[in-house]
Amino acid sequence: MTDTTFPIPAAAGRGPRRLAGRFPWLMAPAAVFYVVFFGWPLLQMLWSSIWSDGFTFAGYAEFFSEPVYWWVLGYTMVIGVVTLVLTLGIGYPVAYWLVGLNKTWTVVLMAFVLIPFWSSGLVRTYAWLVILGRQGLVNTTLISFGWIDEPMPFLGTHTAVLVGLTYYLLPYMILCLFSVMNNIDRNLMLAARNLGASPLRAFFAIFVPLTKPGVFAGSFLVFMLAVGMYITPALLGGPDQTTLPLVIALQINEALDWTLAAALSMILLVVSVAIQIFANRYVDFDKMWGGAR
Amino acid sequence: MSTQRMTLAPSRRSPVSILLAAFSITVLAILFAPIVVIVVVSFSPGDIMEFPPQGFSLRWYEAYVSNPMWMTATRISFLVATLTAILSLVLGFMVSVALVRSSFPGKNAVRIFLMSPLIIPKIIIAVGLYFLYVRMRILGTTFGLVAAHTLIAMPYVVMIISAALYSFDRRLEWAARGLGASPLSALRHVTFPMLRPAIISAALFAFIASFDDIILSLFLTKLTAPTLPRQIWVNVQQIIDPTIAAVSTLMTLISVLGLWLVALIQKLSSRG
Repeated sequence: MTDTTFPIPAAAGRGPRRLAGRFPWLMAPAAVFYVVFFGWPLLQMLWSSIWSDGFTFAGYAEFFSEPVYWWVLGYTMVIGVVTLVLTLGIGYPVAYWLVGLNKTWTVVLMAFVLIPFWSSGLVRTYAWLVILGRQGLVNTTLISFGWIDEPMPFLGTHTAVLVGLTYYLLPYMILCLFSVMNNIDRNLMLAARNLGASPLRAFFAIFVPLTKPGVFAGSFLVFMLAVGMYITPALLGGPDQTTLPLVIALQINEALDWTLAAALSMILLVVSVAIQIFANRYVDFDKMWGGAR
Repeated sequence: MSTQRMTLAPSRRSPVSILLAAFSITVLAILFAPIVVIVVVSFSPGDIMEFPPQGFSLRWYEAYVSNPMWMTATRISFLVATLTAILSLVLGFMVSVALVRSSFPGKNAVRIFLMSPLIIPKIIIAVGLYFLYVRMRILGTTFGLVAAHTLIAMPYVVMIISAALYSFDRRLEWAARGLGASPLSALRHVTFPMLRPAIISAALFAFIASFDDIILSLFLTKLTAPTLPRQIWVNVQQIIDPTIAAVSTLMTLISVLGLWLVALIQKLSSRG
Protein backbone atom coordinates (compact mmCIF):
# COMPACT_ATOMS: atom_id res chain seq x y z
CA MET A 1 0.00 0.00 0.00
CA THR A 2 1.44 3.36 -0.99
CA ASP A 3 0.52 6.78 0.25
CA THR A 4 -1.44 7.65 -2.85
CA THR A 5 -3.86 4.76 -2.54
CA PHE A 6 -4.81 5.72 0.97
CA PRO A 7 -7.44 8.45 0.98
CA ILE A 8 -6.35 11.08 3.43
CA PRO A 9 -9.03 13.67 4.05
CA ALA A 10 -7.91 17.16 3.29
CA ALA A 11 -8.51 18.39 6.81
CA ALA A 12 -6.44 15.63 8.35
CA GLY A 13 -3.69 16.31 5.85
CA ARG A 14 -3.39 19.80 7.19
CA GLY A 15 -3.65 18.75 10.79
CA PRO A 16 -0.55 16.61 11.14
CA ARG A 17 1.53 18.97 9.11
CA ARG A 18 0.57 21.86 11.32
CA LEU A 19 1.36 19.73 14.34
CA ALA A 20 4.70 18.65 12.94
CA GLY A 21 6.12 22.06 13.55
CA ARG A 22 5.34 21.77 17.23
CA PHE A 23 6.97 18.46 17.89
CA PRO A 24 10.41 19.82 18.75
CA TRP A 25 8.83 21.41 21.79
CA LEU A 26 8.11 17.97 23.14
CA MET A 27 11.84 17.76 23.67
CA ALA A 28 11.82 20.59 26.16
CA PRO A 29 11.20 18.59 29.37
CA ALA A 30 13.85 16.02 28.51
CA ALA A 31 16.22 18.77 27.41
CA VAL A 32 15.82 20.60 30.70
CA PHE A 33 16.27 17.34 32.58
CA TYR A 34 19.46 16.45 30.71
CA VAL A 35 20.90 19.92 31.13
CA VAL A 36 20.27 19.93 34.89
CA PHE A 37 21.23 16.35 35.72
CA PHE A 38 23.79 15.55 33.04
CA GLY A 39 25.29 18.55 31.30
CA TRP A 40 25.48 20.76 34.37
CA PRO A 41 27.13 18.16 36.67
CA LEU A 42 29.73 17.40 34.02
CA LEU A 43 30.50 21.08 33.52
CA GLN A 44 30.62 21.57 37.25
CA MET A 45 33.02 18.68 37.52
CA LEU A 46 35.25 20.29 34.93
CA TRP A 47 35.02 23.50 36.94
CA SER A 48 35.79 21.72 40.23
CA SER A 49 38.86 20.20 38.66
CA ILE A 50 40.37 23.64 37.96
CA TRP A 51 38.83 25.83 40.65
CA SER A 52 39.23 25.60 44.39
CA ASP A 53 39.38 29.08 45.94
CA GLY A 54 41.02 30.32 42.81
CA PHE A 55 42.33 28.69 39.67
CA THR A 56 44.34 25.61 40.36
CA PHE A 57 45.70 22.81 38.33
CA ALA A 58 46.69 20.96 41.47
CA GLY A 59 44.51 17.95 40.60
CA TYR A 60 45.99 17.53 37.14
CA ALA A 61 49.47 18.38 38.40
CA GLU A 62 49.18 15.64 40.99
CA PHE A 63 47.99 13.18 38.39
CA PHE A 64 50.79 13.94 35.96
CA SER A 65 53.56 14.14 38.56
CA GLU A 66 52.69 11.02 40.56
CA PRO A 67 53.79 7.85 38.75
CA VAL A 68 51.24 5.90 40.78
CA TYR A 69 48.36 7.55 38.91
CA TRP A 70 49.99 6.81 35.59
CA TRP A 71 50.32 3.26 36.73
CA VAL A 72 46.64 3.14 37.71
CA LEU A 73 45.56 4.61 34.37
CA GLY A 74 47.76 2.13 32.52
CA TYR A 75 46.49 -0.76 34.60
CA THR A 76 42.89 0.27 33.96
CA MET A 77 43.50 0.33 30.21
CA VAL A 78 45.33 -3.01 30.27
CA ILE A 79 42.49 -4.59 32.22
CA GLY A 80 40.05 -3.19 29.65
CA VAL A 81 42.03 -4.58 26.72
CA VAL A 82 42.60 -8.01 28.29
CA THR A 83 38.91 -8.29 29.20
CA LEU A 84 38.00 -7.33 25.65
CA VAL A 85 40.34 -9.97 24.19
CA LEU A 86 39.05 -12.64 26.57
CA THR A 87 35.36 -11.92 25.95
CA LEU A 88 35.95 -11.78 22.19
CA GLY A 89 37.98 -14.98 22.17
CA ILE A 90 35.41 -16.85 24.26
CA GLY A 91 32.30 -15.15 22.90
CA TYR A 92 33.00 -15.50 19.18
CA PRO A 93 32.93 -19.30 18.99
CA VAL A 94 29.93 -19.45 21.33
CA ALA A 95 27.95 -16.93 19.27
CA TYR A 96 28.89 -18.80 16.10
CA TRP A 97 27.70 -22.04 17.60
CA LEU A 98 24.42 -20.51 18.85
CA VAL A 99 23.61 -19.05 15.45
CA GLY A 100 24.09 -22.41 13.76
CA LEU A 101 21.60 -24.23 15.97
CA ASN A 102 17.99 -24.73 15.02
CA LYS A 103 15.58 -22.13 16.30
CA THR A 104 14.22 -23.96 19.33
CA TRP A 105 17.67 -24.67 20.70
CA THR A 106 18.84 -21.14 20.03
CA VAL A 107 15.92 -19.74 22.06
CA VAL A 108 16.51 -22.19 24.91
CA LEU A 109 20.27 -21.66 25.07
CA MET A 110 20.08 -17.91 24.63
CA ALA A 111 18.37 -17.91 28.03
CA PHE A 112 21.75 -18.92 29.47
CA VAL A 113 23.14 -15.69 28.04
CA LEU A 114 20.16 -13.43 28.63
CA ILE A 115 19.48 -14.35 32.26
CA PRO A 116 23.00 -13.42 33.41
CA PHE A 117 22.80 -10.36 31.14
CA TRP A 118 19.67 -9.22 32.95
CA SER A 119 20.76 -10.12 36.46
CA SER A 120 22.27 -7.48 38.69
CA GLY A 121 25.99 -7.02 38.21
CA LEU A 122 26.47 -6.83 41.96
CA VAL A 123 24.73 -10.16 42.49
CA ARG A 124 26.86 -11.78 39.81
CA THR A 125 30.06 -10.37 41.27
CA TYR A 126 28.99 -11.41 44.75
CA ALA A 127 28.57 -14.93 43.39
CA TRP A 128 32.30 -15.01 42.60
CA LEU A 129 33.02 -13.83 46.12
CA VAL A 130 31.02 -16.80 47.39
CA ILE A 131 32.91 -19.13 45.09
CA LEU A 132 36.46 -17.79 45.45
CA GLY A 133 36.46 -16.13 48.88
CA ARG A 134 38.49 -17.19 51.91
CA GLN A 135 35.48 -19.00 53.27
CA GLY A 136 34.22 -19.54 49.75
CA LEU A 137 33.08 -22.74 48.17
CA VAL A 138 36.35 -23.69 46.51
CA ASN A 139 38.37 -23.20 49.70
CA THR A 140 35.92 -24.95 52.03
CA THR A 141 35.65 -27.85 49.61
CA LEU A 142 39.40 -28.20 49.28
CA ILE A 143 39.85 -28.01 53.06
CA SER A 144 37.07 -30.50 53.76
CA PHE A 145 38.79 -32.95 51.43
CA GLY A 146 42.01 -32.30 53.29
CA TRP A 147 43.83 -31.19 50.15
CA ILE A 148 44.88 -27.88 51.70
CA ASP A 149 45.15 -26.69 55.30
CA GLU A 150 44.96 -22.94 54.80
CA PRO A 151 42.48 -21.17 52.51
CA MET A 152 44.10 -20.20 49.24
CA PRO A 153 44.08 -16.49 48.44
CA PHE A 154 42.15 -16.45 45.16
CA LEU A 155 40.84 -12.95 45.71
CA GLY A 156 42.99 -9.89 45.41
CA THR A 157 44.71 -11.19 42.30
CA HIS A 158 44.73 -9.96 38.72
CA THR A 159 43.17 -13.27 37.74
CA ALA A 160 40.21 -12.78 40.07
CA VAL A 161 39.50 -9.33 38.64
CA LEU A 162 39.81 -10.60 35.07
CA VAL A 163 37.59 -13.60 35.79
CA GLY A 164 34.98 -11.30 37.34
CA LEU A 165 35.06 -8.79 34.48
CA THR A 166 35.08 -11.41 31.75
CA TYR A 167 32.22 -13.22 33.42
CA TYR A 168 30.27 -10.00 33.82
CA LEU A 169 30.82 -8.71 30.28
CA LEU A 170 30.73 -11.92 28.24
CA PRO A 171 26.92 -11.77 27.71
CA TYR A 172 27.29 -8.26 26.22
CA MET A 173 29.87 -9.54 23.74
CA ILE A 174 27.88 -12.65 22.83
CA LEU A 175 24.71 -10.62 22.25
CA CYS A 176 26.50 -8.11 20.02
CA LEU A 177 28.10 -10.86 17.97
CA PHE A 178 24.96 -12.95 17.85
CA SER A 179 22.78 -10.13 16.50
CA VAL A 180 25.22 -9.56 13.62
CA MET A 181 25.92 -13.22 12.88
CA ASN A 182 22.22 -14.00 12.88
CA ASN A 183 21.68 -11.66 9.93
CA ILE A 184 24.45 -13.07 7.77
CA ASP A 185 23.15 -14.93 4.75
CA ARG A 186 24.71 -18.33 5.14
CA ASN A 187 24.20 -19.02 1.45
CA LEU A 188 27.26 -16.86 0.89
CA MET A 189 29.39 -19.44 2.61
CA LEU A 190 27.64 -22.19 0.73
CA ALA A 191 28.45 -20.36 -2.49
CA ALA A 192 32.09 -20.08 -1.45
CA ARG A 193 32.16 -23.81 -0.74
CA ASN A 194 30.60 -24.54 -4.13
CA LEU A 195 33.25 -22.46 -5.79
CA GLY A 196 35.87 -24.69 -4.24
CA ALA A 197 36.83 -22.97 -1.00
CA SER A 198 37.68 -25.17 1.92
CA PRO A 199 35.38 -24.81 4.97
CA LEU A 200 38.16 -22.97 6.78
CA ARG A 201 38.75 -20.60 3.87
CA ALA A 202 34.99 -19.94 3.50
CA PHE A 203 34.83 -19.15 7.20
CA PHE A 204 37.78 -16.76 7.27
CA ALA A 205 37.31 -15.14 3.86
CA ILE A 206 33.52 -14.73 3.95
CA PHE A 207 32.05 -15.13 7.42
CA VAL A 208 34.61 -13.38 9.61
CA PRO A 209 34.75 -10.14 7.57
CA LEU A 210 30.95 -9.96 7.64
CA THR A 211 30.94 -10.13 11.45
CA LYS A 212 33.17 -7.04 11.75
CA PRO A 213 30.36 -4.69 12.84
CA GLY A 214 29.50 -7.03 15.70
CA VAL A 215 33.14 -7.44 16.69
CA PHE A 216 33.68 -3.67 16.77
CA ALA A 217 30.45 -2.96 18.63
CA GLY A 218 31.03 -5.72 21.18
CA SER A 219 34.67 -4.76 21.71
CA PHE A 220 33.80 -1.11 22.20
CA LEU A 221 31.00 -1.88 24.64
CA VAL A 222 33.06 -4.35 26.67
CA PHE A 223 36.08 -2.09 26.83
CA MET A 224 34.07 0.94 27.92
CA LEU A 225 32.24 -1.03 30.59
CA ALA A 226 35.40 -2.73 31.84
CA VAL A 227 37.30 0.54 32.15
CA GLY A 228 34.46 2.20 34.06
CA MET A 229 33.67 -0.76 36.30
CA TYR A 230 33.80 -0.13 40.01
CA ILE A 231 32.32 -3.08 41.87
CA THR A 232 34.32 -5.88 40.26
CA PRO A 233 37.83 -4.60 41.10
CA ALA A 234 36.53 -3.36 44.46
CA LEU A 235 35.14 -6.73 45.52
CA LEU A 236 37.47 -9.18 43.79
CA GLY A 237 40.71 -7.21 43.65
CA GLY A 238 43.20 -6.05 46.22
CA PRO A 239 45.54 -3.07 46.54
CA ASP A 240 47.44 -4.20 43.45
CA GLN A 241 44.26 -4.18 41.38
CA THR A 242 43.46 -0.51 41.79
CA THR A 243 41.71 0.94 38.77
CA LEU A 244 40.85 4.55 38.00
CA PRO A 245 37.21 4.32 39.23
CA LEU A 246 38.48 2.95 42.55
CA VAL A 247 40.86 5.88 42.98
CA ILE A 248 38.10 8.35 42.14
CA ALA A 249 35.79 6.80 44.73
CA LEU A 250 38.62 6.78 47.27
CA GLN A 251 39.24 10.51 46.80
CA ILE A 252 35.58 11.25 47.46
CA ASN A 253 34.85 8.84 50.29
CA GLU A 254 38.07 8.90 52.24
CA ALA A 255 40.61 11.45 51.05
CA LEU A 256 37.85 14.05 50.52
CA ASP A 257 39.97 15.62 47.79
CA TRP A 258 37.32 16.88 45.39
CA THR A 259 39.76 18.68 43.15
CA LEU A 260 41.72 15.50 42.53
CA ALA A 261 38.54 13.42 42.22
CA ALA A 262 37.19 15.85 39.64
CA ALA A 263 40.49 15.90 37.74
CA LEU A 264 40.65 12.09 37.69
CA SER A 265 37.01 11.90 36.54
CA MET A 266 37.76 14.37 33.76
CA ILE A 267 40.71 12.27 32.66
CA LEU A 268 38.54 9.13 32.58
CA LEU A 269 35.86 11.10 30.71
CA VAL A 270 38.31 12.40 28.13
CA VAL A 271 39.68 8.90 27.58
CA SER A 272 36.13 7.52 27.14
CA VAL A 273 35.05 10.26 24.78
CA ALA A 274 38.23 9.85 22.73
CA ILE A 275 37.58 6.14 22.42
CA GLN A 276 33.96 6.87 21.54
CA ILE A 277 34.94 9.25 18.76
CA PHE A 278 37.46 6.72 17.48
CA ALA A 279 34.85 3.95 17.63
CA ASN A 280 32.25 6.10 15.91
CA ARG A 281 34.14 5.57 12.67
CA TYR A 282 33.80 1.81 12.93
CA VAL A 283 30.68 1.15 14.96
CA ASP A 284 27.17 1.68 13.69
CA PHE A 285 25.56 2.60 17.00
CA ASP A 286 22.02 2.40 15.67
CA LYS A 287 22.60 -1.18 14.68
CA MET A 288 24.39 -1.98 17.90
CA TRP A 289 21.59 -0.68 20.08
CA GLY A 290 19.02 -2.28 17.86
CA GLY A 291 20.85 -5.55 18.36
CA ALA A 292 21.35 -5.22 22.09
CA ARG A 293 17.64 -5.06 22.48
CA MET B 1 15.91 -21.42 6.91
CA SER B 2 16.47 -24.35 9.19
CA THR B 3 16.88 -26.74 6.30
CA GLN B 4 19.51 -24.46 4.81
CA ARG B 5 21.35 -24.52 8.08
CA MET B 6 21.17 -28.28 8.20
CA THR B 7 22.67 -28.71 4.77
CA LEU B 8 25.21 -26.04 5.51
CA ALA B 9 26.92 -27.78 8.35
CA PRO B 10 29.01 -30.06 6.17
CA SER B 11 29.67 -32.73 8.71
CA ARG B 12 27.75 -32.40 11.94
CA ARG B 13 29.97 -34.88 13.70
CA SER B 14 33.30 -33.57 12.55
CA PRO B 15 35.84 -33.16 15.36
CA VAL B 16 35.77 -29.40 14.92
CA SER B 17 32.01 -29.09 15.39
CA ILE B 18 32.05 -31.44 18.39
CA LEU B 19 34.83 -29.38 19.94
CA LEU B 20 32.91 -26.19 19.23
CA ALA B 21 29.76 -27.58 20.81
CA ALA B 22 31.63 -28.83 23.88
CA PHE B 23 33.37 -25.48 24.32
CA SER B 24 30.16 -23.50 23.90
CA ILE B 25 28.16 -25.67 26.28
CA THR B 26 30.92 -25.35 28.88
CA VAL B 27 30.94 -21.56 28.54
CA LEU B 28 27.16 -21.35 28.82
CA ALA B 29 27.26 -23.59 31.89
CA ILE B 30 29.90 -21.39 33.51
CA LEU B 31 27.83 -18.30 32.70
CA PHE B 32 24.90 -19.81 34.51
CA ALA B 33 26.64 -21.65 37.33
CA PRO B 34 27.31 -18.72 39.70
CA ILE B 35 23.62 -17.84 39.65
CA VAL B 36 22.77 -21.44 40.50
CA VAL B 37 25.33 -21.36 43.32
CA ILE B 38 23.69 -18.26 44.81
CA VAL B 39 20.23 -19.79 44.61
CA VAL B 40 21.35 -23.07 46.17
CA VAL B 41 23.35 -21.39 48.95
CA SER B 42 20.37 -19.19 49.82
CA PHE B 43 18.46 -22.30 50.92
CA SER B 44 21.24 -23.66 53.09
CA PRO B 45 20.45 -24.39 56.74
CA GLY B 46 23.96 -23.90 58.17
CA ASP B 47 25.55 -20.74 59.51
CA ILE B 48 28.37 -20.90 57.03
CA MET B 49 28.02 -21.43 53.35
CA GLU B 50 28.39 -24.97 52.19
CA PHE B 51 28.07 -26.37 48.77
CA PRO B 52 26.15 -28.58 48.34
CA PRO B 53 24.22 -27.52 51.46
CA GLN B 54 23.33 -30.09 54.10
CA GLY B 55 19.57 -29.84 53.78
CA PHE B 56 17.04 -27.21 52.97
CA SER B 57 15.83 -24.26 54.97
CA LEU B 58 14.21 -20.90 54.50
CA ARG B 59 15.94 -19.36 57.49
CA TRP B 60 17.88 -16.81 55.43
CA TYR B 61 14.69 -15.69 53.75
CA GLU B 62 13.16 -15.33 57.22
CA ALA B 63 16.23 -13.39 58.30
CA TYR B 64 15.71 -11.11 55.32
CA VAL B 65 12.01 -10.54 55.92
CA SER B 66 12.40 -9.99 59.67
CA ASN B 67 15.25 -7.49 59.33
CA PRO B 68 13.90 -3.92 59.20
CA MET B 69 17.04 -2.71 57.41
CA TRP B 70 16.50 -5.09 54.50
CA MET B 71 12.81 -4.24 54.42
CA THR B 72 13.54 -0.51 54.28
CA ALA B 73 16.01 -1.10 51.47
CA THR B 74 13.48 -3.21 49.57
CA ARG B 75 10.80 -0.56 49.92
CA ILE B 76 13.15 2.17 48.74
CA SER B 77 14.34 0.11 45.77
CA PHE B 78 10.80 -0.59 44.60
CA LEU B 79 9.72 3.00 45.12
CA VAL B 80 12.71 4.45 43.30
CA ALA B 81 12.46 1.97 40.43
CA THR B 82 8.76 2.63 39.96
CA LEU B 83 9.19 6.41 40.01
CA THR B 84 12.14 6.06 37.62
CA ALA B 85 10.03 4.03 35.20
CA ILE B 86 7.26 6.66 35.27
CA LEU B 87 9.52 9.69 34.92
CA SER B 88 11.73 8.21 32.20
CA LEU B 89 8.65 7.04 30.31
CA VAL B 90 7.04 10.50 30.32
CA LEU B 91 10.25 12.28 29.32
CA GLY B 92 11.31 9.52 26.93
CA PHE B 93 7.98 9.33 25.15
CA MET B 94 7.84 13.04 24.49
CA VAL B 95 11.40 13.29 23.28
CA SER B 96 10.98 10.19 21.08
CA VAL B 97 7.96 11.76 19.35
CA ALA B 98 9.99 14.89 18.75
CA LEU B 99 12.93 12.90 17.37
CA VAL B 100 10.94 10.60 15.12
CA ARG B 101 8.29 12.98 13.84
CA SER B 102 10.08 16.17 13.18
CA SER B 103 13.29 17.25 11.61
CA PHE B 104 15.38 20.06 12.92
CA PRO B 105 19.02 20.98 12.73
CA GLY B 106 21.26 19.07 15.09
CA LYS B 107 18.82 16.19 15.50
CA ASN B 108 21.56 13.62 15.30
CA ALA B 109 23.63 15.43 17.92
CA VAL B 110 20.59 15.42 20.20
CA ARG B 111 20.23 11.67 19.72
CA ILE B 112 23.85 11.05 20.60
CA PHE B 113 23.51 13.30 23.65
CA LEU B 114 20.41 11.39 24.76
CA MET B 115 22.24 8.08 24.43
CA SER B 116 25.50 9.14 26.06
CA PRO B 117 24.62 8.22 29.68
CA LEU B 118 24.73 4.64 28.45
CA ILE B 119 28.30 4.92 27.20
CA ILE B 120 29.99 7.27 29.65
CA PRO B 121 31.35 5.35 32.67
CA LYS B 122 28.67 5.42 35.35
CA ILE B 123 31.17 6.41 38.00
CA ILE B 124 31.64 9.76 36.24
CA ILE B 125 27.89 10.38 36.28
CA ALA B 126 27.83 9.34 39.94
CA VAL B 127 30.65 11.70 40.91
CA GLY B 128 29.15 14.58 38.92
CA LEU B 129 25.76 14.13 40.53
CA TYR B 130 27.36 13.72 43.95
CA PHE B 131 29.03 17.15 43.62
CA LEU B 132 25.79 18.65 42.36
CA TYR B 133 23.61 17.10 45.07
CA VAL B 134 25.91 18.13 47.87
CA ARG B 135 25.71 21.73 46.67
CA MET B 136 21.96 21.55 46.09
CA ARG B 137 21.55 19.82 49.47
CA ILE B 138 19.53 16.97 47.97
CA LEU B 139 22.09 14.22 48.59
CA GLY B 140 20.35 11.14 49.95
CA THR B 141 16.87 12.18 48.87
CA THR B 142 14.54 9.90 46.96
CA PHE B 143 14.09 12.57 44.32
CA GLY B 144 17.83 12.83 43.75
CA LEU B 145 18.18 9.10 43.23
CA VAL B 146 15.13 8.93 40.96
CA ALA B 147 16.58 11.71 38.81
CA ALA B 148 19.92 9.90 38.61
CA HIS B 149 18.30 6.59 37.71
CA THR B 150 16.08 8.31 35.15
CA LEU B 151 19.23 9.53 33.45
CA ILE B 152 20.56 6.00 33.01
CA ALA B 153 17.11 4.63 32.07
CA MET B 154 16.42 7.27 29.40
CA PRO B 155 18.62 5.73 26.67
CA TYR B 156 16.73 2.44 26.91
CA VAL B 157 13.33 4.13 26.89
CA VAL B 158 14.19 6.41 23.96
CA MET B 159 15.62 3.47 22.02
CA ILE B 160 12.55 1.28 22.48
CA ILE B 161 9.90 3.96 21.98
CA SER B 162 11.66 5.51 18.96
CA ALA B 163 11.95 2.12 17.29
CA ALA B 164 8.23 1.53 17.81
CA LEU B 165 7.35 5.02 16.56
CA TYR B 166 9.44 4.54 13.43
CA SER B 167 7.50 1.45 12.48
CA PHE B 168 4.19 2.99 13.48
CA ASP B 169 1.86 3.65 10.56
CA ARG B 170 0.96 7.30 10.94
CA ARG B 171 -1.89 7.02 8.47
CA LEU B 172 -3.89 5.39 11.26
CA GLU B 173 -3.56 8.57 13.25
CA TRP B 174 -4.42 10.70 10.26
CA ALA B 175 -7.47 8.53 9.63
CA ALA B 176 -8.63 9.10 13.19
CA ARG B 177 -8.05 12.83 12.78
CA GLY B 178 -9.93 12.78 9.47
CA LEU B 179 -12.84 11.09 11.17
CA GLY B 180 -13.04 14.01 13.56
CA ALA B 181 -10.82 13.00 16.47
CA SER B 182 -8.93 15.72 18.26
CA PRO B 183 -5.13 15.33 18.37
CA LEU B 184 -5.34 14.24 21.99
CA SER B 185 -8.05 11.68 21.47
CA ALA B 186 -6.22 10.31 18.42
CA LEU B 187 -3.20 9.94 20.67
CA ARG B 188 -5.25 8.27 23.38
CA HIS B 189 -7.35 5.94 21.25
CA VAL B 190 -5.00 5.12 18.38
CA THR B 191 -1.36 5.86 19.16
CA PHE B 192 -1.12 4.71 22.77
CA PRO B 193 -2.92 1.38 22.32
CA MET B 194 -0.71 0.52 19.35
CA LEU B 195 2.45 1.48 21.20
CA ARG B 196 1.43 -0.28 24.38
CA PRO B 197 3.88 -3.22 23.99
CA ALA B 198 6.78 -0.82 23.48
CA ILE B 199 5.67 1.35 26.39
CA ILE B 200 5.45 -1.62 28.75
CA SER B 201 8.83 -2.96 27.59
CA ALA B 202 10.41 0.44 28.06
CA ALA B 203 8.93 0.73 31.54
CA LEU B 204 10.30 -2.70 32.47
CA PHE B 205 13.75 -1.82 31.14
CA ALA B 206 13.74 1.41 33.12
CA PHE B 207 12.55 -0.37 36.25
CA ILE B 208 15.31 -2.98 36.05
CA ALA B 209 17.96 -0.38 35.17
CA SER B 210 17.08 1.41 38.41
CA PHE B 211 16.52 -1.69 40.49
CA ASP B 212 19.90 -3.24 39.60
CA ASP B 213 21.97 -0.08 39.81
CA ILE B 214 24.68 -0.07 42.44
CA ILE B 215 27.12 2.66 41.56
CA LEU B 216 24.73 5.63 41.61
CA SER B 217 23.09 4.29 44.77
CA LEU B 218 26.50 3.97 46.37
CA PHE B 219 27.22 7.67 45.92
CA LEU B 220 23.78 9.16 46.20
CA THR B 221 21.98 7.32 49.01
CA LYS B 222 22.34 7.64 52.76
CA LEU B 223 23.42 4.66 54.82
CA THR B 224 20.17 4.91 56.74
CA ALA B 225 18.09 4.84 53.57
CA PRO B 226 19.88 2.50 51.15
CA THR B 227 18.62 0.71 48.10
CA LEU B 228 18.77 -3.09 48.00
CA PRO B 229 22.07 -3.20 46.07
CA ARG B 230 23.58 -0.68 48.48
CA GLN B 231 22.45 -2.75 51.44
CA ILE B 232 23.97 -5.84 49.82
CA TRP B 233 27.18 -3.88 49.28
CA VAL B 234 27.36 -2.86 52.95
CA ASN B 235 26.83 -6.45 54.07
CA VAL B 236 29.20 -7.99 51.52
CA GLN B 237 32.06 -5.96 52.89
CA GLN B 238 31.46 -7.05 56.46
CA ILE B 239 30.52 -10.71 56.56
CA ILE B 240 29.60 -13.35 54.10
CA ASP B 241 26.14 -14.09 55.36
CA PRO B 242 23.71 -16.26 53.39
CA THR B 243 21.04 -13.56 53.85
CA ILE B 244 22.75 -11.78 50.96
CA ALA B 245 22.34 -14.94 48.90
CA ALA B 246 18.61 -14.95 49.69
CA VAL B 247 18.26 -11.29 48.71
CA SER B 248 20.33 -11.88 45.57
CA THR B 249 18.09 -14.77 44.60
CA LEU B 250 15.01 -12.57 44.95
CA MET B 251 16.67 -9.79 42.94
CA THR B 252 17.62 -12.23 40.19
CA LEU B 253 14.07 -13.54 40.20
CA ILE B 254 12.72 -10.02 39.64
CA SER B 255 15.19 -9.39 36.79
CA VAL B 256 14.31 -12.68 35.14
CA LEU B 257 10.63 -11.93 35.57
CA GLY B 258 11.18 -8.60 33.82
CA LEU B 259 13.03 -10.28 30.96
CA TRP B 260 10.33 -12.91 30.63
CA LEU B 261 7.59 -10.26 30.52
CA VAL B 262 9.43 -8.30 27.80
CA ALA B 263 9.86 -11.49 25.77
CA LEU B 264 6.19 -12.37 26.28
CA ILE B 265 5.05 -8.91 25.18
CA GLN B 266 7.22 -9.08 22.08
CA LYS B 267 5.84 -12.48 21.22
CA LEU B 268 2.23 -11.42 21.72
CA SER B 269 2.58 -8.17 19.81
CA SER B 270 4.37 -9.78 16.87
CA ARG B 271 1.55 -12.29 16.67
CA GLY B 272 -1.34 -9.85 17.01
